Parts: sequence; C-alpha cells; structure tokens
Amino acid sequence: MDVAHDVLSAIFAALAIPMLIYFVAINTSYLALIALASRHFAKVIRRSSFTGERSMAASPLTPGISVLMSAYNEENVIAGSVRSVIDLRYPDHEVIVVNDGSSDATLQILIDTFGLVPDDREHPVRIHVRGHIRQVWVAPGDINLTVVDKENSGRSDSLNAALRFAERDLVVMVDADSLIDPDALLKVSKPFADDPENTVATGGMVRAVNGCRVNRGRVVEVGMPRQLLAKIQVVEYLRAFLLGRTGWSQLNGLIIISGAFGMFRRDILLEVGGLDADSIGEDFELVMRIHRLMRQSKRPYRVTFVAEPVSWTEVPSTLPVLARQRRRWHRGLWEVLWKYRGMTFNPRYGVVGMVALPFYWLFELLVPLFELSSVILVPLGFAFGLLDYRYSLLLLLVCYAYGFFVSLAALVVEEASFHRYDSWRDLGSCIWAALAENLGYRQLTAFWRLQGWWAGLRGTKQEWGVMTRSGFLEETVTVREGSP
Amino acid sequence: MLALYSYSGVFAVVLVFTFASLAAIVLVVAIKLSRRIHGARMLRLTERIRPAILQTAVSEQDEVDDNLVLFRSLRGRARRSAESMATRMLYDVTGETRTNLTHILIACGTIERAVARTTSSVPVRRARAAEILGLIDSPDAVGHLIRLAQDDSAEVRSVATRALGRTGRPEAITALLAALPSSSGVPAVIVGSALLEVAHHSAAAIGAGFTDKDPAVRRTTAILASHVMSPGATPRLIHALSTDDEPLVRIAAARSLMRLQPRDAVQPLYDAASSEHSGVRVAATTALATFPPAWTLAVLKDLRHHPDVDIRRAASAVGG
Repeated sequence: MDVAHDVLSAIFAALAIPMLIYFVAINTSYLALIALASRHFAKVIRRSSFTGERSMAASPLTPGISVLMSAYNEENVIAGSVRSVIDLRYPDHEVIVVNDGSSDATLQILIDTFGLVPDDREHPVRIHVRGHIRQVWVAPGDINLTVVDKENSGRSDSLNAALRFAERDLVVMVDADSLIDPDALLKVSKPFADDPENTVATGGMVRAVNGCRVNRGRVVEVGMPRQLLAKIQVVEYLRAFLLGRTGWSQLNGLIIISGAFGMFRRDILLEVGGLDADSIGEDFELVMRIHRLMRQSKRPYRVTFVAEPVSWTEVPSTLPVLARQRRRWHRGLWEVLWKYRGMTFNPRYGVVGMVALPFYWLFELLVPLFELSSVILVPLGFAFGLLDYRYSLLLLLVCYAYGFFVSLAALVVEEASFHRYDSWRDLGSCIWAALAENLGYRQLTAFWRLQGWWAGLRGTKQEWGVMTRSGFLEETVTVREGSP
Repeated sequence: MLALYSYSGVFAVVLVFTFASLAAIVLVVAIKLSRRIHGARMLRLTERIRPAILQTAVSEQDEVDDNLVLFRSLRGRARRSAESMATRMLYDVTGETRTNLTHILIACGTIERAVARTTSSVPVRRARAAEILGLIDSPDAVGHLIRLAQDDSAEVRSVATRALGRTGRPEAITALLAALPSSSGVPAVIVGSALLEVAHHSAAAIGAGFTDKDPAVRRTTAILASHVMSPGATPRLIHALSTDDEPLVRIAAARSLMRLQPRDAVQPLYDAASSEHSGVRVAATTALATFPPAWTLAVLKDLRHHPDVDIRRAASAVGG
C-alpha cells in the first residue's frame, strides 16, 4: 500500500504541471484556430456580394469536374444520391459511380433508374486498381454518368477505379450516403479557378444531416438532431472541422481533407498514384502524400479549405457505431502520422512539417492518453488521500470550463457567419451539447480512440462495420428524427 | 499538487472561464436576436418596396419618372433594401427592364455612391463598386471599370474585369484583352468568360492572341475562338494544334476544333493523335470521334490499333 502511495505521489509530482499545461495549451491552440477562422469568415462575408459564382456557373471556361463516388450496398440511397449529384449546378461535370461489389441491388437500381447501357470499350489503365472490373455502364443521351461495376476491394480502391475513368481536369470525391449543397461544386472549385497554377486540393465542410429535413436529395431545412450523441457531434464538427480546418487553411498547413467532400487536380492525383488502398486514414494519407510530393519537387502549391460548400452526412447516433468510427479515425491518424514521421519537425516541409504535424502528434494523437490518464489518476489520488477534493475538482473544472468556452466560441463564430441552425431551440441544443460533451462523451471517445491506436500498434485487421442509415434520400420528405 | 497554485488563484481562473462562457452565451443569443429583428424589419420593408420595384421594372419609359419619386424619398434601411432588391434582379434581366432598374439605383443614389467608392482606399469597397457598375446599363460606368481593371489590388482587377464583360460594351474589349496575360493577375477563367460576354464585339480582336508570347493568352484564345466564332479561327486553331510548343494550347485547340468540326481539321487531328504528349493525343482522338463518321472512318479505324489504350478507347467512342 505504501509502495502504491509512493508511486502515485511520484506520478502526481511528475505529471501535475505538464498535464495542466497540456490541457490549457490544447484549448488555447483551438481558440487560436477559431480566431484565425473567424477573421477569414469576416473577409469572406465582406466579399459575398462579388463572388462571381453566377459567371462561373454560366461559363464554358470553368474547369470541368469528375465527381467520383464509391457505393457499397447503398440500395436505399443510391438513386437519389446520384441524381442529386448529376443535378448539381455546374457547367461541366461528369459523375462516375463505382459499385464496389455490392451484394444488394445497388447496381440494378442504377441500371434501371438511369437506363444504363454497357460500354464495352477497353478500360483506361492510368492507375493501378486491385479489384477486377466486371463491366462499365454509361447513361445514354446527355447525362454524364458512368457506372463501374467491380468486385469488392474497398472504398479507396473503388475511388481509384473511378479515377481511371475520370476525364475532367478536377476530381471531387464524395460519399454515396452524403448530400451535397446545390452550389457546392461552384464554391469548392473556386480556388482552382482563382489560382489554377497553385491550388492542388480543396476540401469542403461536412455537416451532420441528422435532424435536417430532406426533400429529393436536398437538405431543405437545417435542424439539430434530437439524440444527444448526434447533437454533440454537430458541435464537435463545427469546432474541429469548420473552424479548425479553416484555421489550418489560413496557416497554409491543412493536412486533412474529408473523404466525404474533397477536390483535387486530376493530374496531381494521378501523379501521386491515387488513394492508398491499404491505408485506413486514406484521405489524410492522400493529402500528406500530395504535400510531400509538392514540397520535394519544390513546386508552389496550396491546399485550401472552403467553409461554405457543405456535404451533409449522417453521423453515428448509436454508441457502437460511433465507437467503430472513432477507433477507425484514430487508428488512421496514428498510421499516417507514423508513416510520415520523417516530415515532422522537418523545416523542408514548412508549416506542415513544423507546425501542423507536431500539433497533430501532440494534440490529436496523444490527447486520449492524457484525457484517460486524468480520468484514472484523479480517483486514485482521492482514494489514496493524495488529493484535496475541492482543489482537484477546481482544477478539473478549469480544464472543462476552458473546453466548454472553446466550444461556445465556435458557436459564436458559426452564428455570426453561416448561422445554419436557425431556431432558438437549435441554439439551446448546441449550448447544451457543448456542455454535455464534457460529461462522459469526451472520456468515452478518448477510450475508443485509445483502442483504435492500440489496434494500430498491434496491427490487427480493421473492421469497417455497418453504418445503419435511415435511407433519407429515397424519401420525398423526411421528417425529423423522432417525429411520427 | 496542493502546492502548485493557491485555492484563490484556481478559483479565480474558474470564475474567469465561467464568466467568459456566460459572455459567449449572451453574445450568441444577442447575435441571433439582432439577426431575427433585422430579418423581420427587412421582410416588412421588402413587402412594402418590392411591388414598387417590380412595377417600375416593367414600366413604360414615360411612367418610370413617376415611379422614381418613391425611390428618391427612401432613406436608411428602406433605401438599402431597395438597392439590394434592384441589384439582385439586375443579374437576371436585360433590355428595358435593366434600364429601368438602373434608374431605380440612380434614384436611390447607389450609382453616385458606387462611383465615389471607385477611388476608396479600401479594396473591398472598390470591388463592390465595380460589381454594381458592371450591372447597370450606363456607358459612363465602363470608364470607371476600365480604370478599376488596372487597380493595384488583384481582387479589384478581377471583379472589374468580370464586370466589364457584363456591360457587353465594345469599349471594354481593349481592357479585357490587356487582362489576358497571366501577368495581369486576373484568372484566365474570368477574362475568358468576360470576353465571351462581349463576343459579338470581341470576335475579331481575339484572333491576335494566337501569336502572343504568353502561353496563357494563346490557350485562352484557343478556347475562346470556337465560342465567339472568331473569323479565321479554323486555320489558326489547326496551326496552333500542329505547331504550338505548349501542350495545354494544343489541347485547347483540339477541343475547340471539336466544337467547330471543320473537315480540314481531320488530318491535323489525326497527326496530333500521335503526339508525344498524352493529353494532346487523347484530346485529338476524342475530337475526331465526334466528327461525322464519313470523314473519320479510316483514321479512327487506324487509331483503334494505337499502342496507347486511352487512344484506342477514345477512338472507339464514335457514335456514342
């Protein structure tokens, strides 16, 4: 007992100050990113009257876009999803859907809905694809739709297969279960039109569709989900994706573009060899590979986050699905950070090497370790009489109050800029979610993230699992969750 | 741990964050509330002003002056609301309606203020001014836009260039052609699109770009040539396809020839299908596959045995 007491005392003595500094630093860094993002949003809003989108939408000179979509067992949503992408407002875009060996009626629904006919021409071989391509289908007439039917080989390999058939100068990857805003292609491609020489990739914002009203593949009314788990993710996405990534983009240190909505120059994508089919964090890995290529070949370039175009995706609303997602994300984070460890603190890679990657090591990868350590150590400290209750609780309160304040700051910026959530009830939900996030959610996700990291270290096989979906795209109008 | 900081110090930090959080909540509520109040006011104003704007927009010339009395009397939010509505409508109308909406903006003092802002020290204000001046039906606006197209700020130059195109006036051509080189800092998409908007005036002038030293100019010219039906476009495009050093120019020429479909281009496109640059090869073959089959039967048959699979595939696309 005395030994345990002494060991714990030593641990407390060694970790007390570093952990406090760590939690203050992580929240301060987020606050700094939010400040950078809010400054950028203010600039964007001041320029909203002369974006030139109308001109872009009508011009034959606007660069063409290939929309790549991988679909695996998406029979509930595929028809509406593809139709909504075809109908996006853009002067020149083609859609390439890969049926990744679905065991349901995904392919047949596509064939029937769009009257597809076989395309028996030879397949292009611009990029290596593992899964055997069985048949290519094309839509007759003016619809620019190609469907590639191949054996199951995963999302990354499927998107590589789609990339083989892409003919336009720009390529955007979207998920079959996501909904894209009608003007999203115009907005996310704007940096390419404004700076065609330097822009190599852009990412759009991903928001939660849970709780929104959807009509014919379009989000027609934005609302907060009813389930607390999904509400918390809405706030989390706002803070980490909308504001965090905008901040990184302003620093020219954006290293993650969401796979649900990322646009790339096709030539660059082919040059780096497409997505890594073995990577779990394939989107992160791809952006890192692009950074490495551009830096090593000393070419000027930009990777930009565009906050306004939105891809709406269903976030997990049950604990098991959320757990799987977070394990996968953190494992992917670890694997990519480890793979590109040579770039970390390497001045050759500029802001990416000297700021972004160290930040992700310290404040993204290690955070669950610190979070759970405090969850375990503090009760032990109480049990061994090493901690004063009032004092320890006050310190914990400092950490969580700061975290709560950071989330609120994100809400303030969202409300002052895009204000997608209109009702008072939604605002109340957001504030409640920002508070509730600290009461179990953060600790749970920290646990899952550690599990994912551990699985990565052990090299166990990654299971993707099944995400239960509501099939909102096929409904004429989807009422909010929980409504009769 | 107890020795780290005093109770009172930690308690003070907790209090600071608590008050900061409360302040953030108050702020977010205040922002939402002010937006709601502003939105409701604007809605009321819109309901009041929209009928007058619509009526004026479709009025006959002799009725316009009577309707403008109301707009001259507007102040504050009401005036801004009218400006905003009329400006938004201007994007979608032409002819007499455009002229009438311009009169509304003149009556509101919008044009006068926009002209004054063209010399503002703030680039965003100059850009906004350029956007408004590009929408209205006024020959005087072109002079201001030409000046703004040479502004110090690349952003202002871009907006002014786009606005010059929207005016549709022949005086804009020289300034637009001057913005074509990459050194202008105006994206080629913007300049090209603007030149397309004044196509009936710019068709002849565009041809000179084929011989420019700047590849960006030659590329944009090659793209535009087929859209504006530039006189003598076909031989120039064929020449660019066959001889230009820059693959992107040759690709643009092939795509333009695909639009024009001149019979003379079949052999040059067939030759380009054996180019050392894969992009040129594919663009040339893709173009050939869209030509009338009677002209291309032999060459496409040959290209279907090309060593490059992309060429074989593109050559097989004939007939859909």
